[in-house]
Amino acid sequence: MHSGTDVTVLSFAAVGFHGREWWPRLTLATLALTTVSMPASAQQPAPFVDLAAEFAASIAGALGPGGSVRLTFAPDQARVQAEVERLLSARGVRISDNGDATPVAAACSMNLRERVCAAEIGRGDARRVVMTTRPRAAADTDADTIVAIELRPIYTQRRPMLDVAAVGDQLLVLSSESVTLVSGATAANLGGRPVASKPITAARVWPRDLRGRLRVAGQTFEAFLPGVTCRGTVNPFTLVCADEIEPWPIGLDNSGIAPSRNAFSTSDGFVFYEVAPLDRGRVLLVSERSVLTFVDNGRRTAARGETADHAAGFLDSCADTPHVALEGRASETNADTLRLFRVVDTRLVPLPSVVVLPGALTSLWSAVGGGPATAIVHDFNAGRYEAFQIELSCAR
Amino acid sequence: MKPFRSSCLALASVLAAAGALGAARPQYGGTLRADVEAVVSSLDPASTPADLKQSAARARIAPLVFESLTAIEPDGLRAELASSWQSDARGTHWQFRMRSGVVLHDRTTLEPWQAAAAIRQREPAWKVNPDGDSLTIDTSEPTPDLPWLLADGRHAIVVRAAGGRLIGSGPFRIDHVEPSSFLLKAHEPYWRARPFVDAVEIEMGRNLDTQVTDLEGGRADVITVRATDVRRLTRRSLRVEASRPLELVALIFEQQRAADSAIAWRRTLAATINRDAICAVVLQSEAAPARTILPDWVSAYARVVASADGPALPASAIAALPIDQRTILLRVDPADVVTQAIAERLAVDAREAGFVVKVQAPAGLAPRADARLVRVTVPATTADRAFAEAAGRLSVRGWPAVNLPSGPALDATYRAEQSLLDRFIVVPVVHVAELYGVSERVGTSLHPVARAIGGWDLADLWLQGGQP
Repeated sequence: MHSGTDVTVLSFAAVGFHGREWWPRLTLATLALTTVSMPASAQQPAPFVDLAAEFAASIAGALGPGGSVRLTFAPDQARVQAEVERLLSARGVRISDNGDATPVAAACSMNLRERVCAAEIGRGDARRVVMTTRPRAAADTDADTIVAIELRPIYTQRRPMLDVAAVGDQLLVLSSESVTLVSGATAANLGGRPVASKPITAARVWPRDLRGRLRVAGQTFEAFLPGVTCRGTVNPFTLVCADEIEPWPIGLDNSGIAPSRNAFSTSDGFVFYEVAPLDRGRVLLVSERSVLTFVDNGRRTAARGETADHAAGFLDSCADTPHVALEGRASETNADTLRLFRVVDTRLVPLPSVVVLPGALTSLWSAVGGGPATAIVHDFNAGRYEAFQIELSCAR
Repeated sequence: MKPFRSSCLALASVLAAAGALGAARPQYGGTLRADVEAVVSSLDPASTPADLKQSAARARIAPLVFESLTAIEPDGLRAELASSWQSDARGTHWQFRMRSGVVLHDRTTLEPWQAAAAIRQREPAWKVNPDGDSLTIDTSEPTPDLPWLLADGRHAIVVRAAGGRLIGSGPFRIDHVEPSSFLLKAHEPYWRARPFVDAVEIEMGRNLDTQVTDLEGGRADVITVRATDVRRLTRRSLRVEASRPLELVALIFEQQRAADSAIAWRRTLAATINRDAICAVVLQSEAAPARTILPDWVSAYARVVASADGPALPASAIAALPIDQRTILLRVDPADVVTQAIAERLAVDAREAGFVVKVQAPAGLAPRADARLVRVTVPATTADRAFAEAAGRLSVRGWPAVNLPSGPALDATYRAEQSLLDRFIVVPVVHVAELYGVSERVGTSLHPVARAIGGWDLADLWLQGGQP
């Protein structure tokens, strides 16, 4: 017997957003502001990677042994394309850009009943089409997929801070003067309890726009400041600083920040303030004059255009394409916002998810290799600095 | 294969997003006023609508009153009056567990035997019986997609009371029926929670021009809008909401132009169509260029359907054609200003290639046309069923002949569609969204008025000035 869905329809019925569930949802402690995208023709890409093996087998079967193909996919389906390429290669099919190779144009999409990957192989009279389908499960949604920014407060203090990093169940807090070890910071007590602090000993004068970054590896850590690098251990709590210009751990090879400056530079000439890692080695840079610059994996500028002061990338997002959060300004409150964008090729597609921050965003650091980004916000009204972890919530 | 890329339908998305971002706390109360074009004589699913307009109007109104065991939503099939279902391997024996606690409009509880009776009346060939809290259906033929079939409004669960009164379970109950209006009242114990408004007043027989003036004059809250009227409404800061592209506008060549020997001629004419311009200019960005019968969200294979590539006639060959072969009489519905506007644009594009297209919108007898420009609704359902229904509407007079899919498998539907398109007798032009104009009285909420797959969502609407 085939089982049907035992769906609790009430969850998306009339009370779903307007009734009793609606308001509490907006007041979640996570401060997440989630809006649902309109089901329209612009569909969110769905993960079709589970169809890749069968799909690649169908293509390989249609090609015959020893084939060579020029495979193109829809531009927003990089992940499934990479998997199909890998599987075709494993089956002895050569992937080529050569004009003599058989053109294979593929796309994965979803209708109301099933998920589909379809490929057109060859041209003209020799043209064939192969398809791989899977029934669409109740949880498979396209336009109804909710991707939202979630902001989780992790620490707060009166004095300015540059970065916060978790080390076990404790936090390291970097400021211009010190690195502090904090215990017991919880949602109910974001101030925690400072258990140890070591001063940053540097002879130089910090730039007016001081920036700093922490990197934790087990029980050791490093603190990066312009022209200064500190190394320490958590237990016992130690810290030794030296005037060194080291590359910072920001997800892109760099030469660090020069003393009295606030921008990074790379050996191949890029100067930027922040970097948002994307897929396949690509990055989005916040460059000079806050221009957003797409850089491909060959370290070439792929596109430039819009502007933002801050950007964070999310590699391990739920969708098939990377997402970035960009800083903006909420006109009504004059507070900073983070708005979510889907990255399609070199385009930024705005999504409805916007988070209004409690003040001015002073630092935004993407995680290296995936994970939550870290934001430091100066709440003028409350007179404090707050550290947040930023993640994407992905509901289907 | 040409990847589908269009900036069209952008407005719909923008408006919808604006609505979502502007969400406010909804209020209860008030009477919502909606206009429809046709006069619906009966909401009874057992009756047959007189024409397509009546069918479309009924498809909007009836789901407010009657529900089915299952429902098709933008993300697929969902349980409605049934809470779950299962079948045997062949798909001939089905068991649907009924949702408990569904209160009908007469305040009694829906029982499985009542649902069984409703389906039995619609499908006398099936064996439909109540079985505890479930009902069982035995079909004579394997019906693997039965839950999709039952989602159709024709299989709505209607309880027939004494005197022929129809009782449903939907968010609104029928309160009063006049020859040209329905008054629906909120069903207080509705199982998905009471609607926000107290009542919905549906005025029927309002042509589309009248509907626009009703909205502008504050006499209607929800109307149907043509793509050609969108700019007029948005300039007045009135909201327009759109569904996914649901209607196909297609060129159909008549039999005398459909010979296989004329395929290059048809392909040449088809290649002159500037879909992007039609979409952006004529339809004010409320449509998407179409190269397939089914939009991609219905088929999921639209991007691999072969486009109009192939040998076409050079300009010199067109110029050398006899005048009667360069001249195309294109017939459109005289009551449909949208297809007339598209036809005029087609004529301009074709003229640049050396053809002469004369648009004919006859109210009575007229010379035999060479082609028709038609508008057909593509239903939101499985690809095979959607194609079959769309094909039936395309070949309403038995022409053109369309081979239906040989089974429910998607590749069978693809082959049927590709085969139809390969002949260039049916040439898709654009897919058009269903559009609704919404008055300022209607509060913005997270749910748009226009359902993504067509129709209204009036239970989720609320009116400004009501109760919190």
